[in-house]
Amino acid sequence: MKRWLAMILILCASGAALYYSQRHKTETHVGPEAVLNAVAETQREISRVPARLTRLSDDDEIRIGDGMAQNYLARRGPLSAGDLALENYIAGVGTTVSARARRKLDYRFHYIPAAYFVNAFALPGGHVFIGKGLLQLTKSEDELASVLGHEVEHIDNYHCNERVALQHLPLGELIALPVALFQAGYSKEQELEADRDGADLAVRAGYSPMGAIHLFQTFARLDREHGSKAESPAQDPGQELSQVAIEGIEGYFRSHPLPAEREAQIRRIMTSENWPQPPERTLRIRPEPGQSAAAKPQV
Amino acid sequence: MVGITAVVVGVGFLVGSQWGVFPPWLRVLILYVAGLGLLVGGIYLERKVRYRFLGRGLIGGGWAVTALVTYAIANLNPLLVLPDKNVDLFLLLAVIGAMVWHTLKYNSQLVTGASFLLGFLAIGMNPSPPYNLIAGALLITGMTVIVVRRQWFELEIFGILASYANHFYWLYRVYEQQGGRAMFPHHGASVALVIGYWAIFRTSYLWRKIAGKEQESVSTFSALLNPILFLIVMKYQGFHPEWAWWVLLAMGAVEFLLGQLPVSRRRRAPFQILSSLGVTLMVASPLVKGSGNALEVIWLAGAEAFLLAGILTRERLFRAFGLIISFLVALYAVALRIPPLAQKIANGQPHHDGQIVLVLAVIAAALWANAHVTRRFWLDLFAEELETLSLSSLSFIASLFAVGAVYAYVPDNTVAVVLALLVAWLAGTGKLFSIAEMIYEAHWVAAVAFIQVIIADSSLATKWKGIPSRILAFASVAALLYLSSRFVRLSETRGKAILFGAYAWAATALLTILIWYQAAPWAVAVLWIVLGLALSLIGQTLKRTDLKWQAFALVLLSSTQALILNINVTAPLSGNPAATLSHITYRLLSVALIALGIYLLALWPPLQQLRPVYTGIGTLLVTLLAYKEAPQAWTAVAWIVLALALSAAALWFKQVDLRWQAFVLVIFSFARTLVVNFDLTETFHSLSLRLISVSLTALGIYLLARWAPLPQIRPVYSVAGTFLLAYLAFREAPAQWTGVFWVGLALVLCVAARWWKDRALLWQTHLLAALASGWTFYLFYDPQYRGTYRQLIAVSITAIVLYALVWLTKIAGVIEDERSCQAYAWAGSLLLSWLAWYQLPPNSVALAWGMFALLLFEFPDLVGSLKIGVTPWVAASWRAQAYVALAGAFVRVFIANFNVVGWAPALIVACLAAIYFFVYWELGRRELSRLEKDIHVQFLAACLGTATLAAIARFELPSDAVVIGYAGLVAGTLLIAWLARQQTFLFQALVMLGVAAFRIFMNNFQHLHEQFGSSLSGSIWAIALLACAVPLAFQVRKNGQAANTPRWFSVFALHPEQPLFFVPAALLVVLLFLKLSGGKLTGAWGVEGFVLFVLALLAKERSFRLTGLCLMLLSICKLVYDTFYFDDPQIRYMTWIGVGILILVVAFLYGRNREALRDYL
Repeated sequence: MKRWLAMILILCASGAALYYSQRHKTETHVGPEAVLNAVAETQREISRVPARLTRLSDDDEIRIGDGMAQNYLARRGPLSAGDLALENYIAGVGTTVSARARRKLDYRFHYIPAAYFVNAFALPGGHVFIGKGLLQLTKSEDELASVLGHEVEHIDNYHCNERVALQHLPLGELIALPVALFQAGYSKEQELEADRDGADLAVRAGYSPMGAIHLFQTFARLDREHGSKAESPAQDPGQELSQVAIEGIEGYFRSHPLPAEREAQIRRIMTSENWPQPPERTLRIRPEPGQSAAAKPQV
Repeated sequence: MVGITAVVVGVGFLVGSQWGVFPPWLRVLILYVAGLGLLVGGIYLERKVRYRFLGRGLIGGGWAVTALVTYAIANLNPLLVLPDKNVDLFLLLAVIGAMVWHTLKYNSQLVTGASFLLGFLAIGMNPSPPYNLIAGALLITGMTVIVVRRQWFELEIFGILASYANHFYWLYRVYEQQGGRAMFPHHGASVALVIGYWAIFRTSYLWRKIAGKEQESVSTFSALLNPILFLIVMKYQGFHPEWAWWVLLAMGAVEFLLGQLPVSRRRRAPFQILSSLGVTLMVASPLVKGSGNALEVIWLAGAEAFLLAGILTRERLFRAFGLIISFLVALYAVALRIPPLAQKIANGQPHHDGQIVLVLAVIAAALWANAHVTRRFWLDLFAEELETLSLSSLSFIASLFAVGAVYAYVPDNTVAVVLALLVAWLAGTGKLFSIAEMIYEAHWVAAVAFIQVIIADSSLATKWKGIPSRILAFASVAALLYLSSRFVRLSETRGKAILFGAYAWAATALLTILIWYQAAPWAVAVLWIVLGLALSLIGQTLKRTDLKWQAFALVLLSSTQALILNINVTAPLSGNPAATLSHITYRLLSVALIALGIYLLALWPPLQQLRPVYTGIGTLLVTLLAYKEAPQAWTAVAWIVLALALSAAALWFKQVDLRWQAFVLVIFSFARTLVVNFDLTETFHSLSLRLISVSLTALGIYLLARWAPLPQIRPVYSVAGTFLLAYLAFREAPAQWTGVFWVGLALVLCVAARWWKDRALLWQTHLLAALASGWTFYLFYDPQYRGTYRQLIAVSITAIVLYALVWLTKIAGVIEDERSCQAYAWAGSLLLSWLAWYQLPPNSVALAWGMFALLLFEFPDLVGSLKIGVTPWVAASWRAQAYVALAGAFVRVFIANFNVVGWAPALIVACLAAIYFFVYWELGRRELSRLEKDIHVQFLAACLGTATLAAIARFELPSDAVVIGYAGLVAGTLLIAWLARQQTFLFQALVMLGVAAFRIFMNNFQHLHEQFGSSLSGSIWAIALLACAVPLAFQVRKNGQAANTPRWFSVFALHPEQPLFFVPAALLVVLLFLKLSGGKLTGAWGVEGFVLFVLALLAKERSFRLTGLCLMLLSICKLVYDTFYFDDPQIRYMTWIGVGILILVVAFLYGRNREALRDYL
């Protein structure tokens, strides 16, 4: 009798849960995101110790980063007077933001005057690059600070260092590594870490965390515009299975987390840390107008 | 040994370093004193039994240090007191000589050999001639004296290797220094020295006294090794290749002469070895010079001379030489004569050469004579297996030369005939004189003849007196092969039972090929059948089964030919349309004749079991003939009629195989109906032609079911009829109702099966039900039906009918296995689960499946309470469906529910966890099936429940707080394990402990630097929770170990408190290390150790106490490390020597107090 009662109790509770779920119409997306995030995080956790053990020394990292930056800047060529002023402005913001980084390196900030370059990236040793395409997307100095803080944290958290160290090459050959290696982004967990710590740097430098929020909203808009199809619910179990499989493969190889996920993280920290929200500052110098960005941002 | 090794290594570092302010001579003195001290001490201690091993170690170390210092005084700067390295070499040799003298008292080749090795190394390190050469000679002489006196012949092998290797290495260095191999200043001395080596070792070999066979074997090895190495070194230092064969000849002569000396003849082995060696070298010498015509004939003469000498003197050695040289001749001729001849034949070049014919024929004749004539005359001399084997091998090689001679002499178009004659001669002679080898040789020559006639004579177009040459060649070879077949059959050789048939097969194959070439295409198959009839008749007369088999092969060939060629020959026999023959085609005539011949041949098959093959082939040909002639629409009906005729004939002649052929025709007509008749659109008297023809076919099939070859396959007929009807319905009924119609038909068939107890009908029920299920699934898969009432009703009806069939199909006495009825339950459950996916929102599906699983799980008990009998297996099947649904729900929550954060998804998943745990408890009070026990289903249910809760913690809690959830689960599962005495939860607690530890270490510890994160607090709370679980683990330990605990887990089951203690303790150590530094860290570790120690006293656990002590010790070590650590380059040798001395002291003390220490430990 007891077991029938227990069973009926469980069935009633389950029915109530179903009813509650139906009433509140909790929208969900059937996909492997949760599992994939867990797998990616576990993967990162497993590789964390080996990565830490093979890190380069600060001196080696700076030497390699300087060499790579020198090569890259040589290809970029000299800047016009306007671009030079813009680079100085970026360096000012970046220096303010990076002042509170844990690793006391000589952080240097560079501008790439190409409208197609909708990206920012960091090189080992303290070099941060930002493209004109990405700068055109920013509407405030706070947004710029969040981008620069994000890139500084890739250096500060040894992401660049470990990426170099994992190549297992002699020191001399590491300088010749392609810069594209650092433009491609990092693991989701590392990107989220850089988001968290980068926003923290910007906030402690006096910027509003809303800069990061607005920037992620811009990314989300562009993401939708650039063909990220609306995820419609599956119409049959087979379609659902194939959708899960495809999203699983795509999600595993996608380095950057979704903009919405990044925005949610910053909002959560804003609440928990009670970050101040001063008014956002406008950009004092804007890039010269040109062809607008046509590619998806990679930050 | 370890200690003294460490000391010696330390001294090695020391002699290469600048140490102290002493002058070199004082350092040398100190080190000599140390070495001699070790030596003297060792000799003293060795006398006492208690310290014998220590003493010997010290002696070894003392000698090593002394030798090392002696080397260093002329070679290493810190000890350089002796500028002349040659003097040092002799000093070193003196030390080594003393060492050798000392080692002789142990009477050990190994120890003395090691000393000599040191000597050779010393010489190797001093390359200055002539001192090094003199020293080497002295060393070898001394060693040889010891070898002879002590009978240490193994040591001599080492000495031979070392001396020649040492000399070789010295030559290598000389060449290297002067930039290449060229004459050098001390060449004469070097040559003399190598000759001296050879002479010393050869003298030692001849002079020694042998105690036993083993020593003789070792000596023999030395005797062979000495000249081999001598020649290698001489070659390396020689600069006149043209003298090489003279040297070989001279050396061969010397070795041969040495073999004849009285001192050699004292023992048999030196005489044999040196004589053989000498002859071998002398024979090899011409090879070096090698050239000239027909050299092999000269050698052959020599071989024959040796053979004859061996026969006349009855000396086996000479006979062996004769055979060896014969082999050399054979190899030489095979290598140099046969390939060019074969190359010319292959390229079509002129290849007839009288000289080659003569050479090959002479060798063949000589070898055959040796093998078969000589052996027959002196049978007792060639009784040993090796000699017999050699002569047999030479006989085979002779046959090769004979074939070569034929090719080199006879015109190409008659080679095959001559080879066939050779085959007949070999086989005949072999049979006459009982020489098995000749029979075997005939086999391969026959193969060559067979290939030759096919390759060379197939294209012959010439005629001889009006008869085509091809017929003559093929017929002659075939006749000779038939004749040889008889010889082989009558011989007493191995494999004759198969091989004589092979000859006949080859002959028949030649005749078959001849027919192929000579006859008109349509007549080939007919003539083959005629040949087959002839062979069959002869075989029947002579009782030769192999000929009947050949006839059978011809039947297969002619039927294949008929199927490929004759069946497509549509030309009439007469070109005149008015003639009667114009209605008869070659196809009809030839195929009919072939079929008739095959039916006739069926009277004399090689095996009675093959008779159906003959009739089957005949029927196949007639069936094809009917197919080619009958109108297309009526082919299936015509085949059914033919099948009826065959069935009638089977009844008349009582031949079952004809019934089987009728059965095959039924299958053909069934397939033909499916492929052709269902597409017919014409009508016949307002009735569909499809309906008529299909119905007639079905009727015929049902009629033929009466004459099925076996009762067991009678259902196939009814299945075919039912299938045709079902398919007819499919083509006529509307698609939406097809599934319902089939399910209904299945129900009707099931009722009929119950009525008539017909198993076939029951199976047709199964098939139709499966078809209906699949159709329903397929049709309503379309998204247009999602959430519709039509889908709900149709799928529900189908599922209900399927559930009903679970009971209806259980027909006692008909159904073989009542368990198969459960397939309907599985299908019904699958359909309902699938319906839930369509009818419910995504995040509710998992829980719906869970609830459905719960109902399925309890269903057998529910039915049982209604007094309906349920067998344990059926109950397990229902439960299995529940398990699948539960597993599906578990997977689904990960892709549908954990993508959303909030109470509703967590609530749904928590309900699911409750279902898992309920199932777990219920399983504990049931009698489980074997499979359930094997896959540990109860354990898995508990794991799914815990894993679901862990997943809630992982996905619903903040990242830093996940570990608290995990730690809570560890404590919770331990609590359940204690209270419910369920070891399953202990296992889960330990797994979760590992997961929690991993997460804390790899995640929380890595984010400790984040100021706004809660990694630190999360880690502290988690470690605290884990620590709180330790008392629970003690309580669980009291429960004891369950009976069915796996062996690997029993350690944890008996002592769960160990991992639960060590994991948080270690995590705390690491956390302190990460968050603190310097003195704070040292203090914190000390405090933790102290606390652990105090708690361990309370817990009365030795391992805990030791952990506390170790932690305290760790903190002390860290203190020492921080305070006293320094780096000194001289630490290396000091460490080695110091550690070594310490170990030696420990060894001494151990030896002194051995008994007491053993008791204490």
